[in-house]
Amino acid sequence: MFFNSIDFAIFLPVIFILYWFVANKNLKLQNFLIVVASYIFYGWWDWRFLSLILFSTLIDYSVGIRLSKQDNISKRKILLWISILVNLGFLGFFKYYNFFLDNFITAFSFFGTPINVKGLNIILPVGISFYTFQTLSYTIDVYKRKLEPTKDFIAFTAFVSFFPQLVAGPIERATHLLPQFHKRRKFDYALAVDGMRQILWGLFKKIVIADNCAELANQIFNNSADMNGSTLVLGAISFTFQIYGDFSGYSDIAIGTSRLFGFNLKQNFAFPYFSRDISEFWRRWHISLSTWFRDYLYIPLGGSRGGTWMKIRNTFIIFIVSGFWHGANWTFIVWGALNAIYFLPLLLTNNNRNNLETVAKGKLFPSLKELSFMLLTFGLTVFAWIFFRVNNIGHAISYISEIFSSSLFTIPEIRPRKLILLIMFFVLIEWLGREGQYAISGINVFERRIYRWGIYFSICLLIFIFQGKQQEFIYFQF
Amino acid sequence: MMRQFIKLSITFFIVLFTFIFVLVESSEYIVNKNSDFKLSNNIKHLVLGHSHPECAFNDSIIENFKNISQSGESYFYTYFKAKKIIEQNPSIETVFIEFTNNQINESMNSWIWKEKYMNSKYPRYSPFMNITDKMVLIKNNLSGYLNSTSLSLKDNLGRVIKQNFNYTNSIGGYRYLERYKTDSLVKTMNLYSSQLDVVEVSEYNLKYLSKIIYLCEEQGIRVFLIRSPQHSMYSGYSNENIYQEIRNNLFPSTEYLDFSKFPLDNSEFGDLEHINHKGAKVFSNWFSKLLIMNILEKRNKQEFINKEIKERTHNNVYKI
Repeated sequence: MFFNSIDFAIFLPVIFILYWFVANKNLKLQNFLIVVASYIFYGWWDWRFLSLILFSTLIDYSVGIRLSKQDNISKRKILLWISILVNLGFLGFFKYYNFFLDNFITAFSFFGTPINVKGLNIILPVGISFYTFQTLSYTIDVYKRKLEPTKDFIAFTAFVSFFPQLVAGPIERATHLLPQFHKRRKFDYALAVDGMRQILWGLFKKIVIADNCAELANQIFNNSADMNGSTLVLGAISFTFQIYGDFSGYSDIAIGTSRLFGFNLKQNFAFPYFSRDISEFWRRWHISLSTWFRDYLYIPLGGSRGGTWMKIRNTFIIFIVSGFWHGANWTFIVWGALNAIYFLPLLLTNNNRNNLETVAKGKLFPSLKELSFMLLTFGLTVFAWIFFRVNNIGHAISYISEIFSSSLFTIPEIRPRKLILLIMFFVLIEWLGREGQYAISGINVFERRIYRWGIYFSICLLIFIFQGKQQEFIYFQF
Repeated sequence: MMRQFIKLSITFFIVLFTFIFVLVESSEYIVNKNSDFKLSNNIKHLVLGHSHPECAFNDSIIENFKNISQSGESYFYTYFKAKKIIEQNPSIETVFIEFTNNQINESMNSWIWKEKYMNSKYPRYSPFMNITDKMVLIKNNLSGYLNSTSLSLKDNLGRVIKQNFNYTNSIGGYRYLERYKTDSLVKTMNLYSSQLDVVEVSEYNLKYLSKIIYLCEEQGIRVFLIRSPQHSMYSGYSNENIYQEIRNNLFPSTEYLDFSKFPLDNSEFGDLEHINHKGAKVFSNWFSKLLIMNILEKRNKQEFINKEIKERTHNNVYKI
């Protein structure tokens, strides 16, 4: 079920009413309703893959219980590895099987021993990368004794399958989300209104910005061989806004929806395109994934301790794995490696934690220096996104070669005036609201309801009038 | 608190939807009231339909004739166009409506409500639809309808703001097709199977064809169902029996002119279902001659056409 569909527009109020009016007095019933709703939500796409989630849930629940009873270190390790292997096994099979097979075939052919093995026609279960990481965080935290394992199976199932963030995150930590399933939720008016507001902004980002940018980006990337350099730059910028509107829009809707049910999810995007360097960008982009990799991969590998080579190795590992998490294609690996290259100079010169505060905090305009650094970081990000969007490395090379040709200085073949105006409006609102959790969270400064409603109405009208052709959320494929 | 939240949410959505509804309806009303479908006064004959007649009738060659066919257009949308044109152009005496094999197929339903088609046709014709027409779309593709309504609102508001209500440039016309794929298509295709396809019929499309015919007859305009020239290997022929059965049963009193066997060689076809500009020139010259010869007043029109076609074939104009 898509968040921007009629189905969801009916589903959400029905579950909301049942949740607060029928199940409100019983915590178990509320959690059970969430499980049922989540399984319907996921099954709407393909009910067959519900068995995967259920299996993953059963394994991690049992491992958690057994870990709590087990003090023997090697047995605890075995339990942890069972969870890791099952979860990553599913992920590896569904997401990476054909990739590895294709590369083995290519490698064998290269060395003169061609092999004839056919790939499997595998459908990638939506959201597998997200819920796999979420359940893994539970087992690892229980193993590290950071979290008491839950004995409430329904609560645990609800935690794994919680529908607002099931298919595209934010990837929640068990330490943060699971306790919320153990506490009775009371309806919080302010939280619910804030949730509605965040949903509205998420829909704007997705339907107006991402879907309109997608049309232009698809047109340019799919016909890049016929386009001049300046048009290709336009395509890359368009994709840059598409992916941000799409993914952060999804996160906003997910967080907002959770708030309607009394849950608080972590912020997943914090205005990343206003970052002044790449390390700040990665603290603000897909925060739930970056911090997951930091805590469960980077730090166990030694983090930024140790010698220079250790730092370089760990940085490359975390960025390349992050790229590979996005998809089974060399383009994602190059995208990850490129970001590592951007990041390393900052790390090695100890400048990676320079910009912790929001840019131009408390001010309307940034300084010239801040603006320059923001533009430079944005430019680097746009360049990296090209690898994320292209079909293969060859496509990336031809795309980038054309950009760095003399045709860069010609007039773009496509001049999307309406889209540029929409993006300018969007950037302005995001800039004005950059100190909040999301761009329009500060609307409460208007005390009179009529002003707030006026803004909501305007956003709804903009969504209705300027909606783009409906596109699937990009991150569903990951 | 909870009740207040629900009360306010409902109020918000009621006000929002009412506002959007009023905006949509009022813009459609203004556009409908001012819409300009006026053609030049000398136009007496119209041809309506999809891409087949769009590519076949070069109206610059045929006197007093206007081609307003459009690619991908189902009868559902043609109906609204025909209605407005007939309403605003009393000079029209004859309407030719393309009625070919693929127009009976169920696939025509997707030409009515599939998003790709609805998004391009609905914004243009929404001001001229009533609620019954709109219900066809709502019932079959609600989310697509909402998307198209948004496009339509944008379109209509643009017309109102710019005070541009002229439709004559956007409702179709002769298409100069520069395509020469027929030889390669014939080489690569499997030999056309004589086995008949199981045909599911698009009732909606046929219903709106009946409405167009009724509309014309009501206005005293002569209606002809026509079939434009098609290549002998055109796959649409697979439903020929059902096609003829539908024509005889549903439109028994509507005159039918079949040009499908008009002799053209492969270089005059763009592909197996469309004739290219070269073919259109040949066919339109011939069709123009037929009109001058007063074909429409002859008793056995189809016989006359068949005879003409046969003569052209024998005169070696048609080279295989």
